Parts: sequence; structure tokens; C-alpha cells
Amino acid sequence: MQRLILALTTTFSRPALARTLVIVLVLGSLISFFYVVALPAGTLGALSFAALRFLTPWQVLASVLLGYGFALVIAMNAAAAGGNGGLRKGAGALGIGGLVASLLPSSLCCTPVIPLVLAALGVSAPTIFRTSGVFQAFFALHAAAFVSVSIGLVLLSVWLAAYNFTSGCALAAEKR
Amino acid sequence: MTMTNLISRRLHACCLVFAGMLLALAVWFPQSAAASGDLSVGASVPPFSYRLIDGKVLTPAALRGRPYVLWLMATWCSSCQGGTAVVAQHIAELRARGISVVQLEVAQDLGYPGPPLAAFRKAAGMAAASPNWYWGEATEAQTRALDPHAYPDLYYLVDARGRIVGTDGAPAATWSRIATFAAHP
Repeated sequence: MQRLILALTTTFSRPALARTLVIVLVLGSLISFFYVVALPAGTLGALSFAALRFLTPWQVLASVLLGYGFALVIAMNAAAAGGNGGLRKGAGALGIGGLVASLLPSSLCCTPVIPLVLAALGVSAPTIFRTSGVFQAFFALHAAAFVSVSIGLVLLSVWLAAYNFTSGCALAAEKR
Repeated sequence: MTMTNLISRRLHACCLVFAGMLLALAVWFPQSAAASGDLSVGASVPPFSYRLIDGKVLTPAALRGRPYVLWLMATWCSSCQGGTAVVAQHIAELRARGISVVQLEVAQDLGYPGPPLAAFRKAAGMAAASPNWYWGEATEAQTRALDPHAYPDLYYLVDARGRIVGTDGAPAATWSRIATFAAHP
């Protein structure tokens, strides 16, 4: 926790403050806005602003955590790069993984994607009838779990970025 | 550049490409469902009798001379829940225009049993009891004939002569199409 506080304090201090604010506010808002539309898109059946009518409080919270959490990771990495000359590994991949995983239910359920992919792979029609529902239902019925895991991954990536950030500071001080 | 950095960058690139592909699929496929097969526009709907969940049977004779929306769906399907909510909002309007909705659960929910259709119907509220909204279960043969590609959310717009005049999926996203059909069945 101390590392996280130290990393946040450093990231939101001069000289990185202006860049941090731009990254968090602009990138975070853009990603959050995308998820506000993308998360209820599964209920609508298309990625459209019309999906907002199905938006739930939980999805708003998830969108904010995913968007601003990922922006914070980028801001920390940018601050780390500015101070010590190198991006931190691991946190970015986890964050991107989280962002992608949260899109799986709305992308892969209830669309012709899976039946068409199975057909393209040469799977027979009777097998598609028996199995395509299994895949799609898995994504549909576990959508909340997918989003929860995604939030966990993004939060973990924030912590990892903070850990690497503060570790980097110590190493840089030793080198000097 | 170290090997770890190289792998990390490639991983990032792969994730971004994958995310882009998902986004493209999410945007493209719901709108393309109608164009990718199924019973074609202009064909006649097979003269099936549908088993309704109230124990009655909806015969071809009962549907003859009446335009209707024939909707095949799985009860685990999230876009079907959204679509049902939108149909519930408009069912009285459809009734006033003489349009019925025949909502059928596909056989065995395409291999993964979802909630019972009765529970799904109950979630639609009072509107689900509208006399122009039929709830039933498609048999295996009916599912194969009407939904040959095993799509979990597919509807046909059927005119008074029993001919298909349109097909699509996700009624909540494509309601304007149903509204146009209702205005000029």
C-alpha cells in the first residue's frame, strides 16, 4: 500500500502532474465512455449508443474502474519513463488483457460469430447445433464474472505499475 | 532491446489486434445476421404448428392472413432479453396494427439449457400476456428448418400471405425494421 501511495503521489506531482492529468482525464474518460456503451451492448445486440438504455449502475461502476484504472497505469508508466528512462513491463499487458476480457461476453454471445467460426473450421451442422450454444451461453451467463475479472486485472496492473515504479526509483538512486 | 521487452511488445501488439478484431466483430455481425443465410426473403414460412407454453398449439391456420414476427431465441441469450423488453414496450402498438409476435425458444437452447421459457416470459411483465404475443418452443426439426445456422437470436418478418419479407436479429437493436414492417405489413 505504501508503494501505491508513493507512486500515486509521485505521478500526481510536478513535473509529471500536467501529463498525468491529461492522460487520466482524457484517456480515462474516453475508455470509460467506450465501456459505458460496450458493456450493455450485449443486451442490445449491437455496439450502439442505443445500448445506453440497458445500462446498469454496476456497468457504470465497471466502466469507470476499467477506464480510469487503465489510464492510471499509462500515467504511472509515463511518469516512470520520464523519471527513470524506461517503461515498466507486465502492468500494461495485464491492463490490456483486462480491457479485452471485459469485451468477450458482448462480442461473442448472441451473435453469429461462434456458429460461423465453427462452420469455417469445418464443424458439421449437427455438431454446431449441439455446441455453439454451449460457448455462447458460457459468455452470456458469466458476463458479470468476466467484467469482474477484468476489473481485477486492471486493478492488479495499477498495483504492479506502482510496485515497478517505486522499485525503479530505488534502483535509480542506487546507480547514482 | 532485451528478449523480455520484445516478447512484452509483441504481447501488447497481439492484445491490441485481438481487441480490434473483437470490436469489428461486435459492430459487424449483429447487422449482418440477416444477410448471411437462413430462409431467404420471398420464401414461404414452412407450415409448422408450434407448441405453446400454455399447452395450446398455434397452427398455420391460426396465423393465416395475419402478418407476424417469427422470433427464434435462446433463453440464455442477453440480446434476447433486451429484445423482449423492447417488444414488451411495443406489443400494444403491434396489436393495434394487427401484428403478432411468435417467440419460440430454439430446441434445447442450442445445446446449453438456459432458464425456463416461462421464467423468461415472466420477466417481460404484464405485456407478455398480450393476446398477440405467442410464447412457444420450437422442436428440433423446426429449429433446424428455421434456424439452420444455429443463431441464438433470429427473427423473420412474415406477411399476411406467409411469405418472409425480412429477416434480422436482436430486435432491440433493429426495432426500426420491425416498426417499418408494422407500418406497412
